[in-house]
Amino acid sequence: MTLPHSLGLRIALLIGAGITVLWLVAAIVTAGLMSHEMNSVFDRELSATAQRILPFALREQRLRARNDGTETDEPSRPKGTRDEVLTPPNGRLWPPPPPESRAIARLDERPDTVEFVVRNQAGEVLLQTDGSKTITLPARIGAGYVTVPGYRLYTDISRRAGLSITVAEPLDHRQSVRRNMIVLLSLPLLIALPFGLSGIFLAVRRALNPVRSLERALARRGPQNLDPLASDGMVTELRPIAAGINGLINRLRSAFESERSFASNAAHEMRTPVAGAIAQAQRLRAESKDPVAIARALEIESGLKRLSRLSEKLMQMARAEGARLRVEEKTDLRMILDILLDDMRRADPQFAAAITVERPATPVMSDLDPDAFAILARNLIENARKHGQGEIGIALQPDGRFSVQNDCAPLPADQLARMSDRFARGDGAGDGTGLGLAIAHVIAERAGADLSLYSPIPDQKRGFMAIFSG
Amino acid sequence: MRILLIEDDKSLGSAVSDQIRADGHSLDWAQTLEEARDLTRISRFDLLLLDLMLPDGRGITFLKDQRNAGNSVPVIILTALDQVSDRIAGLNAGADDYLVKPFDLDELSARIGSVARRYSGNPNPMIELADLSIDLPAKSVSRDGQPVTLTGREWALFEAFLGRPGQLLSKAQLEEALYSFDDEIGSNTIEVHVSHLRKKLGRDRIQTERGLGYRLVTQ
Repeated sequence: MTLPHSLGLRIALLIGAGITVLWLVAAIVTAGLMSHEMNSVFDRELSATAQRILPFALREQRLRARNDGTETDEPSRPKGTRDEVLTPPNGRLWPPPPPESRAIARLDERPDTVEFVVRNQAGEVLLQTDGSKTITLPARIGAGYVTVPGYRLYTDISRRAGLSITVAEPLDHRQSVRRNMIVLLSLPLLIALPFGLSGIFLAVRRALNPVRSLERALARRGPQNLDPLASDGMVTELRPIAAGINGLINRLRSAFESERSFASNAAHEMRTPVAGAIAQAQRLRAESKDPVAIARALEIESGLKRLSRLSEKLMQMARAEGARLRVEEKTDLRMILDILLDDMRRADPQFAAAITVERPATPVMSDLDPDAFAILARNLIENARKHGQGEIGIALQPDGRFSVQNDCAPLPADQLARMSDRFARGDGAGDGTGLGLAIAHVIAERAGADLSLYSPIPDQKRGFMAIFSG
Repeated sequence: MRILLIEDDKSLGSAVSDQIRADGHSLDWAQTLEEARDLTRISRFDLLLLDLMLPDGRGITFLKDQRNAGNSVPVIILTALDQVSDRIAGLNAGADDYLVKPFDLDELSARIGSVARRYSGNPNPMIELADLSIDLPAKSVSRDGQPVTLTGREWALFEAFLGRPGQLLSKAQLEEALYSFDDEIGSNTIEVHVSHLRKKLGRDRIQTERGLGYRLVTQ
């Protein structure tokens, strides 16, 4: 049997099963003990019945004997012992039996009552009830209890009268009483079990509340939340789990941090020599008068710049993937956008002239990592420059929504869908690394934000638009 | 202008030095912060080019120290740290501009010019001075619409005057502007070049304060 996956259900089932088994055992033992007790009560009843019937049997016999002329009918006073009662010395029965005692047949009217057989020492049946005729009597007559198929027998012997009486009680009577008793003992279990199980389940559920709140605390955190779990007020059993999770979180965080510092250091380590080589190539170009040498220097320079752009994108990707993109201190996204645009304007005044910027007059505060936002915005703008024509529209909304749009022929749907893949390139990509939109997507994803791409621009026939809502 | 380059990468440093010298500025190159501190102590620079990650410390610290000591020299940061947060930190520490590696040498030249102009109080790269029209980035001067050709030395000297219009400049200050052209500046070098400039730009354009120095007349 496989246990259910719910811990609460599991505990409730195990406890419920345990209680059910215990209860059943208790019921069976109780039934056994009571059945034993009941048997002795029934047996005592049986012997009492025998003792009550025997005088009537004796009298019946004497009456028959008198009718045969063998007995007198003188009253005599009983002396106390059973034999004396049964067989007084003068041979007379006291008190005289009432006339109704002859009505033996009346006993047969009820099916489940006592049968009896009176026999003499030779085993000849002197008197018997009709129902007793079907009973198999033991061959040897002895006093006491004996069980035969279907009946419990008690035999009493009156040696003086030379008579024995065997009283029989049907066993099914006892069995039905025992059955009733077991049913009555089990009945409360049947009623109590569903209530008990629900009670146990509710209690276990309640007791497992801390597990659920831990579960909720874990479910609530975004992919970037690496804060340790608060263990205040946590139940003892969950503390090791919380400590384990916190240990894991710490290791993850330090791994992320080292990854980030690696990316940042690698960027620095690469940028400086590349910058030196580019600068040398530029000097070579400036100082040379030989057109072939100038062309070579240009070639080297553009190759180095390509390398630099690619390595920069790889670093940006590493940063986006390795870093925490939500920070405690909020920054004004307008300021970041201003720095970025200022930078782009100075690097390429012609390009900057084609940009229109729409931004609110009030600060747009966001807990997004400023560097991540800068990387994202730069990539979206560079993407628009690379693949678009004419004007580029940049808009920052007061709610932090950031959009970049450019004019171009509408993109086929499948190409638009491919755009967010790594190294995907638009058809017009010249020297693009193909990483820009992929980086923007990674940043949006890891920041728990949304980046949607549209082409054509909604409500227009042409163009491409990226909307970041974080 | 006299510029101090603080950069530990030899390949980049030598290319930047050549570029700046070719622009007509004089240049000192420090490869560590310690060297830079020594140089700023003994000389006065018109502009600093500062790398942020140096073998003996961070450029930001050096910049903050300079600003705290009251040194208002224009500073352009040259760095591999391209993050917006690094840039904000650099600008907050008192830098005037921020250039991320790798950069075009021509862009560096342009930024040096732009920062220097802002410091001189006239950010406009086109200067109109009576009958003279001066295009600072193009290093060209025209007089009454006629182009005037200046040699490298003459331009460097004229730029030094343009940086502090109307101010009295000592012979030593002017010599610093020519420092990159002549390892050994002769005793009458400045007089010779001033006389050439007067010939090309107008006799009254540069005034002589006997025994003190020279002054560019702005009217």
